[in-house]
Amino acid sequence: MAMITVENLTKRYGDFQALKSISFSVEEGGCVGFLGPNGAGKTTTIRILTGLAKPTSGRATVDGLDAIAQRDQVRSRIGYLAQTPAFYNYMTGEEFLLWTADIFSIERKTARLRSEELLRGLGIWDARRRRIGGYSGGMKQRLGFAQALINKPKLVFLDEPVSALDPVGRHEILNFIEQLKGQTTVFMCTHVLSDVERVCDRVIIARGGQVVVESSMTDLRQQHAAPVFTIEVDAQDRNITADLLALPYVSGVRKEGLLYTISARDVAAARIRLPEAILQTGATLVSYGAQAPNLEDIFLQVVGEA
Amino acid sequence: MNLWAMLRKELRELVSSYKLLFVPLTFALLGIMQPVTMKMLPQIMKTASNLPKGAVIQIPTPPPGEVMAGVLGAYSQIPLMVLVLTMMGAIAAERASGVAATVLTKPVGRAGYFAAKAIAYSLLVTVSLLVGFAGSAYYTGVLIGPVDWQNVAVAGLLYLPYLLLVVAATLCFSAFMPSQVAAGGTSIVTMMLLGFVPKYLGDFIASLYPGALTASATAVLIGNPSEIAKPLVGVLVLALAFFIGGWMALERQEI
Repeated sequence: MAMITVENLTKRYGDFQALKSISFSVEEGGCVGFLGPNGAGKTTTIRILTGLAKPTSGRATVDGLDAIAQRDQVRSRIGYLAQTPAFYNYMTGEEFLLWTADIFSIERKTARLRSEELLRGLGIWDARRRRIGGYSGGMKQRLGFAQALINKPKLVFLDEPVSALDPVGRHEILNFIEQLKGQTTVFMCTHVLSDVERVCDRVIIARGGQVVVESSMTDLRQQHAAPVFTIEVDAQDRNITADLLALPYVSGVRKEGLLYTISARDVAAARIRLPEAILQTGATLVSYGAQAPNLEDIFLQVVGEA
Repeated sequence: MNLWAMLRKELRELVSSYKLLFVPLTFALLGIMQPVTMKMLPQIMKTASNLPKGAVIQIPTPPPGEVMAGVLGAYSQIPLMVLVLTMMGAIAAERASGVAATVLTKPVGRAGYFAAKAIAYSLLVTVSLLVGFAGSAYYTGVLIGPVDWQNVAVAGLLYLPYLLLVVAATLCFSAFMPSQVAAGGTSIVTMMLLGFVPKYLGDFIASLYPGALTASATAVLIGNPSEIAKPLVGVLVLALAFFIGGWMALERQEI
């Protein structure tokens, strides 16, 4: 069943068209990365789906419920982590979580267990009795996760979940998101591509308020799989660009110092014959690698297409 | 129930932000100032002015009822400002900080969110008025003369709807206005305008407006009761209109 469906959603703020007819759907389970450059309409979409904003036109459903007309019912099934989550700073972390549980009418005993589990899992158990006002940005982000998950939501919206974290925190939180995938559908909006590559199974790429790509990670890689080989040669070698371009299965060569980036027209042929062809030019092969394009290459390619 | 959870949070906030302490304290201090200054007035005049030696100042001490009426007069100035200042951020500041988005994506209806604040601040003004007015009446009794407690109670009950109107108007503008400063400014201007403009809008409106209600509260204290029902209904309806208006504004808003 579709967890989210969005049909021709538009949103205008005065003269500014934040969303120009955006449509996509998200299946239950797994993790979807919602990508796009700044101003692509990611946050606006999330705000509509969570009931904070209303669309100018179009339809959206969350877990089969109308995201606009039935927003009160929708809210008990979702979790939401804002880009910079804010809390009542005079409360302690634990107090805020228990209070959040109260809003969901979760029984006190269950709430205590659940909040302990989340606080420990997110590494802020030791800070639970401290006022949120004294938390660092990273700790607030972790508490933001905890409050979004206190009700065991069927769907959780994460708006730039790891951008405020240091590398260690980022690593921990990404692991945490990976564990979540089994229990809930994760809809994560970000522009950090490597994070999406790590945890998401599907990607939706938006640009200028429209969806430009909607696909699974594997399909996306294959579609845009213009395979690339990188080789490094020895310092005494002459420039072999011309020799490489003469090969029938090579479509392009870029030279940066001793590094050559070679794109292939015929991957299968290149794989078998390229190493030998290089040796025949008389160059000394220092390193050789074949790589699939990463999401960043694809992203730049897709978003750059004007 | 989540309205109860919201209300509990609002009450907790009144305590931890010391609003529950300093608002009643303002009401008490500025109220008690009235009997104290009335009592000390001759002495103050004597020390403050450069009157020639031997000048006799005779200021009759006003009756207790009039002193208490002065307390209500004092409340419509600084304490009113303090009230507006404490409430103007109730919604606007939560929206600006982003905590409103955290809360309103949970199963708290905007109605519940608004109602919890309205109830909590209504309690705050009730407590403040009770503490302040009772304290003032007590000191009037000590310093000036015996106070008719029954009149004080009736006058307090008549003044309370006026303070509820302040709560309603400020919350309404806090929901409606983009920033808390704008909300505070509009609330103060609105209360000022409501204080005298309706007087000139015909006899019917003049009998309903907030100024008429404070006038009847004053009249009760002086022992000269006047029309009560009309201004009472008028002010309560106006307060209700502001509450509903604020809630509607919030309901339509994008957080």
